[in-house]
Amino acid sequence: MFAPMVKTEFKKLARRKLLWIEMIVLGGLIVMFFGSLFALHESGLLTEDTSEVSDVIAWPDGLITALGFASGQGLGGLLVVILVSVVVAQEYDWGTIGLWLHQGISRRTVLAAKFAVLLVAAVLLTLAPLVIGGLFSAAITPSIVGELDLSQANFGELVLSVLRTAYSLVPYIALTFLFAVLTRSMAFSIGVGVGYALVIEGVVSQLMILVGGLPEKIAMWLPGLMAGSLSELNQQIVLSANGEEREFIVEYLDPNLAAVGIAVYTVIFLGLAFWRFQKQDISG
Amino acid sequence: MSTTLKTRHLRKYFGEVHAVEDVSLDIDAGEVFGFLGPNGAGKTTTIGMMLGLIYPTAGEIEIFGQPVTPSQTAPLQRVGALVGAQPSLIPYLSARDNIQIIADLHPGVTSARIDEVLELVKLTDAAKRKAGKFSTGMKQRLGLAMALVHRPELLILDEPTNGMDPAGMREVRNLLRALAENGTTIFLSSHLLHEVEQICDRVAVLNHGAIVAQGRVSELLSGGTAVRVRVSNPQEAATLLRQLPGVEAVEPNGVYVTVTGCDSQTVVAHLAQHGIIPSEVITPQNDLESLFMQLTQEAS
Repeated sequence: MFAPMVKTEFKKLARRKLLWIEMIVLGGLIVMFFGSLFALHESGLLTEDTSEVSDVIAWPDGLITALGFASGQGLGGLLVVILVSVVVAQEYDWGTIGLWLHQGISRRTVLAAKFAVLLVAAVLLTLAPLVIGGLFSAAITPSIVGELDLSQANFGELVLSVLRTAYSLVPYIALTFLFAVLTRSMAFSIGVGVGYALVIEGVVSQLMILVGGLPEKIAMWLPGLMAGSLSELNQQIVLSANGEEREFIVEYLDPNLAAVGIAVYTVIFLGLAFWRFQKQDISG
Repeated sequence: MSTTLKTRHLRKYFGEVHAVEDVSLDIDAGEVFGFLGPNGAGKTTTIGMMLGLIYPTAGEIEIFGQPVTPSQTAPLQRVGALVGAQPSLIPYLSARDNIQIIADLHPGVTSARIDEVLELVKLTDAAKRKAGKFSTGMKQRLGLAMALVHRPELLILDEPTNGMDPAGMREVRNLLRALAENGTTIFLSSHLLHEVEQICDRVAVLNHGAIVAQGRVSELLSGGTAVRVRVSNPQEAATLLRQLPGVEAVEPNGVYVTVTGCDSQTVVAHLAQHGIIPSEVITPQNDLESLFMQLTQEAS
């Protein structure tokens, strides 16, 4: 029953406006960001010291910038929290969780199908800003650096970067899954998930980094900062002749450790969600 | 005749609240079985356990001879259900798409079958409208269509005519009768007693989580020579009444004792001889509503 249930979940997700709205929002933000920087560049207001800012949007660095919007460290985490809350918790509100169960579909299959479809949604949420940012970057690069050389981008690494960025969203999917199953409420699930992303990862983790020492080391193990660690690898998209790498202010975890950390978070949160869902009495 | 749906000593406790207490049912293949009870009696909880949605505190459920629990739900693939105060629908999908997503979960359901069930429930003209915009009655029809699309062998329906107008109710009644004649087993929970009386072969009446009466509608309504008396000491009264010649059955039930096989005069006289004066004597009524009121009020 897994394949038919996945097909059903895809149909439901594809016909929801929310996923498309989120992709449009990401795309729109990238257009605004790239457009604003390009306008600054064209206005001549940028000085020698600040001119490097425009390189962030030129090809191929523009691809890395676009991916950053979608990552767990960027807006992607927030958007995934909202999407998962709607896809999972709203079914409790509508009573449709029971509808699947009394078709004879096991509880594991219902949740597994939702998770599989949300993984695809994470990839789509990564692809949309990449495509829009990439096209914008390619269009404006001749004005910034004089010419567009597509071969400066390692397309093999680009594919891996998309998968890495989507992977950085997986712990948010798993965590929100757990909130949704525990609370059975879309509003509460969104509130807790967004609160976590904004407060814990947005504010508390930054303070822990500023404090340094043990608090900083603990902060490195939060999903958002592990996503940052994986983002470091995305710069391999850029085939730079002089071997220069983009510098990061924060010293992230080793990317391999970060990847394992993300997997551990996912297994724990998803495991708890599955376990709790298996035990629940479902009404309606 | 084979048993399609069986429950044995089913119980559900929510902390101190005993929502379902020792419910045992046997529903035969092809039967239309009515499940009656006032609000809060435990009907929906019982149905929830049958459909693997709610964990029983104790007891067993079998459908088509196979156990059903929230962890073992394979037999439910042959079951169609309509449960809850509002049918479970995806509001942003059309009526047709709602039925389609159920059809996708059952192999062999064709597009023609979807057209057929839309016509059965009179929603053909509204097939492309979003389900969220439907009236209560239309949602109920759609829920029924979703329960029927895969030709289930067992239908479990909780208030299937909720929100429908009288014409719609009659259509559903006729539909259920036609399905039963074609061999579908129907388990029907309803408040509409005259409907149950018209289409059900057997009924069970639930009150405060326990079955207070069960049997063929005709038998329950005729009551045979069943007499119900209210006494201060039902166990003592039951012992005395079993001594009566011709008595068929004596059942204490709360503060009441039901005696079958003797008329009310004989029962009262026998009790009075032994110093027990009944405070109430109830003789059988001839419609389901009166019987229902009698059964559910006396047990309260």
